[in-house]
This record gives sequence, structure tokens and C-alpha cells, in this order.
Amino acid sequence: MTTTTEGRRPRSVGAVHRRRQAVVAWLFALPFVAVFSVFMLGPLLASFGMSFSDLTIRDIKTPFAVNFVGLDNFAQVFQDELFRKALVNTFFFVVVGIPLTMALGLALAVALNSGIEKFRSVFRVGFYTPVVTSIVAVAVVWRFILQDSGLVNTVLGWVGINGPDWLNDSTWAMPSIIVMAAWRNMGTLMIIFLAGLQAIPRDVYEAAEVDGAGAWRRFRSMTVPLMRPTLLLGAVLLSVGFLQVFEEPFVMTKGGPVNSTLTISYYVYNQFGYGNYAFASAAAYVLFALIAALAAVQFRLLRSKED
Amino acid sequence: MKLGRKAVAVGIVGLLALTACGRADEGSADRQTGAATTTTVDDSPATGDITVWAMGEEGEKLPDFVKGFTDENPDAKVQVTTIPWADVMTKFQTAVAAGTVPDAIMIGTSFMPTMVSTGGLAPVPDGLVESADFVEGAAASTVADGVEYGVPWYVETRVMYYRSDLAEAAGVAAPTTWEELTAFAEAMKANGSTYGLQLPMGDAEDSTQVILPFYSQAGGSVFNEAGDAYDLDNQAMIDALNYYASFFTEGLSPLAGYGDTQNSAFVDGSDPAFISGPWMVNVLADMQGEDWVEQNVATVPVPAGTTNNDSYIGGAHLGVFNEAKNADGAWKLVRWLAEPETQQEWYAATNDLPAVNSAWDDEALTANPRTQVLQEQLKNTIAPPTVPSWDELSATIETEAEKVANGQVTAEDAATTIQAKADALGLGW
Repeated sequence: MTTTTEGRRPRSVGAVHRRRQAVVAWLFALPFVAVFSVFMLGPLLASFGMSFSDLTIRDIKTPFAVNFVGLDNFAQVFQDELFRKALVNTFFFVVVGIPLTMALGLALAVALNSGIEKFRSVFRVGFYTPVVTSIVAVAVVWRFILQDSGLVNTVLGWVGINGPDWLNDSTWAMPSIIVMAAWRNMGTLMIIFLAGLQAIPRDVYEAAEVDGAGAWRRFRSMTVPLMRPTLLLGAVLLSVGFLQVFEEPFVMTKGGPVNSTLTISYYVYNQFGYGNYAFASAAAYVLFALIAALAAVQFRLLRSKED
Repeated sequence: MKLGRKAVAVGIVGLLALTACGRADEGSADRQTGAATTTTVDDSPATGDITVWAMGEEGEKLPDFVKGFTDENPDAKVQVTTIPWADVMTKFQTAVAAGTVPDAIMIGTSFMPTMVSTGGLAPVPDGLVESADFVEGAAASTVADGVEYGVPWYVETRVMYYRSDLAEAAGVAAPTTWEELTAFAEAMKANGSTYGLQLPMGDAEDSTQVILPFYSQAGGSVFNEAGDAYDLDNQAMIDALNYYASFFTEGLSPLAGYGDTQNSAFVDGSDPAFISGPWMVNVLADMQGEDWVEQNVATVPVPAGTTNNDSYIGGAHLGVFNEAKNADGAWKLVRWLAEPETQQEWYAATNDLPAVNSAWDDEALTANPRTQVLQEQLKNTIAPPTVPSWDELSATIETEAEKVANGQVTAEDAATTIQAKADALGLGW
């Protein structure tokens, strides 16, 4: 988002000229800055302040007549068994979901880049479709597929496996949601990875092939190292999104059964619903801190490899 | 790709922040303008603009219906805004925080405590209505923290529906006790149905609407005698949880709860009984036709536990805002809507059951055997507790009941967990 302003940095010399350009640049950025301040920055700061207070729905007429409670909300968040459960669920979702989605995205990108040449754009659109399809519509189909007597269990029945009631089984509900999330997000990664793959010069591969490197060897020793920045970018984008997972459990399981698909975002959403605004804000900032920490680690990795 | 979700979350927070700013500018003196409180409302005609928020079908029918009121009060003008059910709390909170409230609002009974806790609603003026005139459970659920904040408008309660044709084939009659209900479900299953009774599961399906009545039927009451704390870790709660769970553990109800197939399972006979509200008659008639419902669907009061056969009571009240511009006109409209004749006309217009006892004399109601069952059930009801923390506590009850049904914890441990949560929450005032 900051590139909007940085991208307009003047290249020509001359201080006056540069200053004029800066003014113009800020003028162009003004609508964004205004909208960002009112709808993002303001609320972000407000909820940050809120998280140190005891504001609830009872105080909405007098939001400033509340007590400062320091870190009490944060302590309570971590003491809440349900939050810890949501934390574990979210980590499970992230730890299993990210490698799965990355692998699928990469496999698709490699397949489209090398194997399939003729109908590449058709496949590209096809695999990207889940990303742009409304999740509410998608959820209806997935719920049918995952029903007790749905498509998945029918197919499993052909090979003699008695499948569980996926979404109503506290063991299988989260894995089901992960598969759905992977399916929904692999298209985005495919596009990113495909761009990365296409940036690798062909002749490098040809040289390796002449030297007798097989397909797997070329993938392991050339594609993956050359793609590392792109892979890391994909991982960062995905983990920021996956840590905030909300829509999938909301439309598929409502956080159930027995809270097995309750995620941190869902927990925050529920707390807002109960009118515990300060507490919910604190929980939201815990999530924010998690995302920031993970993103920082990943960016560090990304930078060190670029140097 | 995740921007949409983030925007929503930030939007919610933003709304709060913005409304917070609004209050700051106005200053704290403005808070005291809630002068509409408990003044008496006289019998002179209402005047001026009266703005009302109403939800769902009621919101759609009310604009035409209030012509009866404006005919009697020619100087008054009623303006109804229809709000979707899902947006009510958000709009209510925003309006209260920003001071942009209408005069009156329809209050779903379960919203009552939360709405009261914001300080947005005005107490009902002395002598406006007589609470003894209303269905008992409905009148009780207008009282929050010892004060009446609403006037009952219409009620609904849950009764038992079952496939009379299948029950006949199975050789069972309408169950009147817990034991009979279990035996009934077993007989239905033995008769070839996959399950015997539909029950809601978990937070997603608001299972407390069934568990709370079970608890009451077993002799439990939600609060201690002083009424200042929850009292839920007791034998009645253990009995209620065990009874609820028994249907799942014995395979009489699907662990998935209603799921997506609630109505179709009833229609195809695979799960031939449920406990639900009066609207289900129309839902089933839309699916299968009125004749089919007439011939195959029985409506009976819910079976009794050791103490009574209380059933969940819902419906809606009408309230007036503290900062209403035309509180006098709004209360007069509310009073008119609670008159027996108006209630009968409203039933004719909407099928909403009257909240006023004397309105039940209407022939449209007395001639219909199903509404007679509802009237009988209305004598024994349990309303959701009107304390702000109930919403959050009921989620815990639902999850714990789910665990008992799944065999993960015992009912005893669940009752202890529920009480611990209840103690942590307090009543929420």
C-alpha cells in the first residue's frame, strides 16, 4: 500500500521540480490516505485504545466513561480455555493448510509452465475460478459433497471405506475445512508461482538437461532455489490470510462441532457479538501480533536470500 | 484475496470508533436528555410523526396495518422502517451510540436484555398497560433488572410436531412424559424411520431453546432464590443434559442436529418428529400442501418432565427509546397495538399469536385445533432469562451439552463447567 506514494518518487534532478512532484504525488495519494485514515487507521487506533479499557455494549452511549484496566483483557484472553482452543485450531489450520496450498499451487504452476502448453489459459482460468467465486455459493456445494451420504463418502464407499460425517465429526471437520481452503486459495498461488517460473530463463534448463539432469533433479536443484523469493512471497501472503481464517468455518460449520473449527477470528467475532468490545479488541490484537511476528520472520528470510 | 474479510472487521471497529467520536463532541450533558422515562401517557389522541423500526414480516405488514391507528389519531403519522433481523443489533447499537434513534422499535424477546443494557430503551410508563393482561411468559420477559422495558406484541411457543400416519403405523400415541417421548422415538425408529426425534445441536442451532425447557421441566430454575446469581449446577441440570444427550447416544436423534435436511427428513419420514414453533405449519404446507399437513401432521403440547411441561416462549415486544422525539405518540401506538381487538386483527393479518390473553376469544383462534394446542402450551412456558450475559452463557451450555451428547464429558462435569462460566460472567448488568 505504501508503494502508492513511494512509486512516484521523482527521478529528475532539481529540488524545486522534485518538491512540485512531491506535492502532486501527495494530491494523488490524498483520497487513499483519507479513506485509509478514516476507515483503517482510526479504527485500528481506537480498538487498540479500547483493548486496555473495560468497554462493553453497556458503555456505547458513554464510550469515554470507562475504566483503564491495563493488560487485564490480554491476561483474560490467554486464560480463556476457549481462546486457547481457538489458538490451537488456528495453528493446526495454518501448519497443515499452508504447505498443502503451496504444494498444490506449485504443482499447478509447474504443470502449466512445462507440460500443458496448448490450453494453458483455459486451465489457468479454471484453477483460478475458486478464488473469485462467492464463498457462500461454494459452501453450499461443499456441504453437499461432504455430507454423510455425499459425493466423497459415495466414492469412498466404492473402495470399501466407510467415510465419516465430515463436517459433523469433531476430528474431521477441521481437515475438511483445510482442504476447502486449500482449494479456494491454490489459484492465487498458482498465478504468483507461474509468474515466477516464467521469469526463469529457458536456456538454464536446457543447459542442465544437456548435462543430464532429470526432471525431478531440475525441479529440486534449480526451480526451487530460483523460485525461493516467489515461494516466500506466497508463504507470507498465505499465512497472513490463513491466520485470519474466518469465512470457511463461518459458512461451513459455525465453529462446531464442539468448537473444533473455532478460529481466533471467529472467537473475536463471537466476543463482539456478546458485546464484550474491549475484550474482543484485545483478542484481535493478539491475532495482529501473531501475524506481525510471523510476517516479520518471513520477510527476514526473504531479504537474506535476496542479498 | 482476504481484503474483503478484513474490511468487514475493520468496518465494525470503525463504526464503533466513529460513533464514539460522535458522542465525544456532543458532550456528556446530552446523556441526561432521556426525559421520556415513566411519564404517564394520557388518553388524548396521538399527534406528530411516530417512527418505528420493525423486522421481517412484521416490518412488512405493519405500514398498512397502522392505518387503523392513524384513522383514530388523524394528527399522527406513523413511519415504519423495515430492518432485516440480522442487522437489528448493529443498527440499534449505532443509533443509540449516535443518538439517531427512532421513536419505537420491535424487540425480539432474546434481544431484550442486550438492548436494555445499552441504556437505549425507556421504561414502560406507569399505567400504560396491565401486565396481568398478557400471556404470563411474555409479560415476564419484558422485565429486565426489575423494570418493564417493553410491551408484549405477539408470542410464539414451541410445540411437538410428529407424523401422525407413521405414529399410527408404529402403534404409538402422543407422548406426554419424558419416558413416553423416548419410547415414542424408539417406536418410530423400530417402525422404519432412520431416527425418532429431531433435536438441535450446538451453538449453531441454538440448542438451549430445547435444553432450557428440559431444565425447567426437570424442576430447575435459572437463578437462585434471591435472583442475583445463576444457579445451574444442580440435579435438574444434570437430568436435563442426560435426557437431551440420551437421544443422541441411543441413536434416536442425529448427532449432526437439524443440519440442512430438517424439513425434508420430516417429510420423507426418516426423522418424523420435532419440537418447533407455529410457523412450521406453513413451512410444511408450502412443501407438501395443506391437505398433506392436515392428514399427516399432529401438533401436541411438549411432554412433561418431573415438574412440568414448560416450553420455550419467544415472540416480540415493543419498546420506546429514551431519546425518542415523540415518546408520547410512540407509547400510544404501542398501547393501541396491545389492545385485544387490534391483536385479533393483527393475527388475521399475520398469523402472529396474540400476546394479550383476552384476544384469544377470537373465533379464528378458537376454531383452529392447532392454535388451541399453542394456547394450551402458552400456559406452561419458560422465557429466556432477561440478563445480558445469557447470550454468552447459552453458548457455553450448548457446547457442554454437545460434549455430553458426544460422550466427551459427563453431565455432572458439564453442569460444573456451566456454573463456573456463569459465575465468571455474572448477570452482566
